[in-house]
Amino acid sequence: MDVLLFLVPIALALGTLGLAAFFWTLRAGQYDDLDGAAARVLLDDDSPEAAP
Amino acid sequence: MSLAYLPGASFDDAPGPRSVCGFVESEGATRRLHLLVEGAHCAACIGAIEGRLTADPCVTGARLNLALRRLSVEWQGEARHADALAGAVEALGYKVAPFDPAHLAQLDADTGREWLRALAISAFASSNVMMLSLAVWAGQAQDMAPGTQALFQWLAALVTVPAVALAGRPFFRSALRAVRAGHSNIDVPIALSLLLTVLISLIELARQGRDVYFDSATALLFVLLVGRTLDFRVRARSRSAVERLLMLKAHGAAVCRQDGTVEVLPAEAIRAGMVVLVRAGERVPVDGTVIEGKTELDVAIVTGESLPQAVAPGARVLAGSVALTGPLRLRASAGVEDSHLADIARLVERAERTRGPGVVLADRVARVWTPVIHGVALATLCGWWLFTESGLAVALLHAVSVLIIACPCAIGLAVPAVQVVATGALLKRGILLRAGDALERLARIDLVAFDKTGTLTSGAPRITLWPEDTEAIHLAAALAAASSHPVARALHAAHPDAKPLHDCEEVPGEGLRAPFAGGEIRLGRAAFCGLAPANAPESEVWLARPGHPPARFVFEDTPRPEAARVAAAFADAGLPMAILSGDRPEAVARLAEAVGIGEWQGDLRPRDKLARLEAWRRQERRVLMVGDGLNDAPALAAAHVSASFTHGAPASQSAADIVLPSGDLAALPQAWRAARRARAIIVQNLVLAALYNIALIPVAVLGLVTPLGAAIAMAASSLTVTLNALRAGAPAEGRL
Repeated sequence: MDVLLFLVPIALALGTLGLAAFFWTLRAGQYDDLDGAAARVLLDDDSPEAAP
Repeated sequence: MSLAYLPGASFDDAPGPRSVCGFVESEGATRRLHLLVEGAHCAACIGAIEGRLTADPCVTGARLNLALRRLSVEWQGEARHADALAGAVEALGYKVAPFDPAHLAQLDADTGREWLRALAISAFASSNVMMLSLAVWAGQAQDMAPGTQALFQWLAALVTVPAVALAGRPFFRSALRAVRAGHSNIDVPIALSLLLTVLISLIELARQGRDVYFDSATALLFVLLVGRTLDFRVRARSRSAVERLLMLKAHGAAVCRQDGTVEVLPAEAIRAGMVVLVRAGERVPVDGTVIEGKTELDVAIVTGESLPQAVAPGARVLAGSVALTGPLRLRASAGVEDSHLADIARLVERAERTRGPGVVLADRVARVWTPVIHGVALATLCGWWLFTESGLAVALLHAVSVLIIACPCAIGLAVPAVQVVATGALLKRGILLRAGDALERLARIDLVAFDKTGTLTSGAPRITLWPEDTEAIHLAAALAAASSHPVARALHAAHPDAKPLHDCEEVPGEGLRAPFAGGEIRLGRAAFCGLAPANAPESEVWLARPGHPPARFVFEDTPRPEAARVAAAFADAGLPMAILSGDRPEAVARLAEAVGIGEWQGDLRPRDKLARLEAWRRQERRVLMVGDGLNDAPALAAAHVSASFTHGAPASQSAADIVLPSGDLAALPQAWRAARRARAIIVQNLVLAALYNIALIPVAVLGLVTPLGAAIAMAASSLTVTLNALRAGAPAEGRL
């Protein structure tokens, strides 16, 4: 069962990594405009085909 | 209404009262402007607005926040380019207003982020601690080495302690504030339960005991935070919609300087003696005396009088009225602080002070619940310590397990879960809740008081009696096509095919005239048409033309089509109703009869309405006040619960607890039904939570609770309460 000594801390560390990533997205303002984010995915100005 | 930023208009002209130049922020050569955009809903709107702005060579960035309807635009160059940019957006068909942070009750964005951060921490903690706890529980059934069990428990403690300290802060803060103020709220048992659970688990861990409840503590935190975060988000949406409304209506005043230049000032900056310009269709920003110009003045929102008044030089006008037919030049008689508007604001303040803060249902339950549970826990402690041989440590453990099992989780979730569902459903219908406990208060009303003009009536006159001569009707409609006076508009709307006459002239305050075969035809007041004014109770206009007898039109501010049905709906439910109006008593009496409301009063000034509401309060009646005018604002603030409309005066919206869609009186009984339903479900939820407790507390008192049992009980009770709450969103039966 020695493997638990590695695996459990690794699992916790990975979880903490995910939490840190969430904090980063929160600080970057990614949750400030959820409606806009849902709508913006439909805008395709940036695809080369859309350009006239 | 909006006159500035017409497409193609020259922006070198004197800035209109809605110029946004004053709101530009500068940072070096970069200018930044925040605008509210009303009417943007979809991806196409984002594309159109941002595309139009970035097409401007000066603009370096434009981004529209669809949730807040807030447009941020940055450009290089002059600050006065702002009006051109705002004009460009308005030309696309969106209404814009400068974003003014002064109107925000609180910075919702920061609070929202704090809730999300706490939620994320508790989600991380509860999932990982549950993973560790499940391993321990399984290990207890099979044969995990005690050392491994202890390791897992210590790891769980390592996660739980910082998580509770960080994510539990909102609860601790609220509980501390309540305790300091000498009362109890729902957060007091929650905070106590969190602290005690963590504390006793740490002690048990140190003693290498079995009763470690870290999973319960983190799961409790997570479930409560989900409820609170959702509750906050839906309320913030509702509130920000109301704040947007207020910002869209607030604007400055065009002040004429002595050298003839026109400058736009915020309404607060106006002092007595300044000369203010009001264009046709605009709202008068301050009280004043007319020095030039003649117009019909719409005072419905200020005094409740339904018919426009003619004003001429020398007349006094009140802030909030709308110049309908012509421009005015006013001399401000007072600054904003001592205007009619400020009087109303002071009355509103007084009314709010006398009403005082209400106690929400959840906190009332907590006030009963907390002492009972703490009493049971204390009795458990004494019982085990005094009457058994087990010692203080075990007695303490059993006492704490009573506090843990007493499910503050389900009680803490019972109210927010229902409010999220009910508020969200009302928001979809366009009904905005400003006060957090508006639903609870609305559910318990026992009297409905209506304002008349604009609330029960449509606020626009309609012709109720036509002359028999069809040619006269046709001519009158043709003449009326030239005017924007409400009566003329009503006349023309009834016969839209009538072709406008040539050379039509409007005499403000009198009527319309146009050359006609054999003389002149006139449409207007009796005196204007050369007749003796009749003393009839109705309001009338006359049409005079050469060679024919004059024709008479009677017009009236007619009730909204749904008014009678709304009154009937409340009457069927056994709720008495009353009308409180500032209009003439005859008009109020006729309306009261038409919609079937027995009790009415006319000719009421704002302070009379307030006095009426305060009298009802002393009789301990819970009154729902509905009104849209500035004159209703004090009464709205004094009522048990109050509703205004999106078309109403800004002062009435900020005084009301609920804002209904523009002109939609039928939303009122719907909101009332939804509130009653929500309250019924909240009560059910509290009973359900109490039942879990009644079943489980004896088990805890006897010391038979295990961490696994506590976890199962909490999950089951929270799920029951949440599933029951989902019913609050069901569409109210019997659409009105």
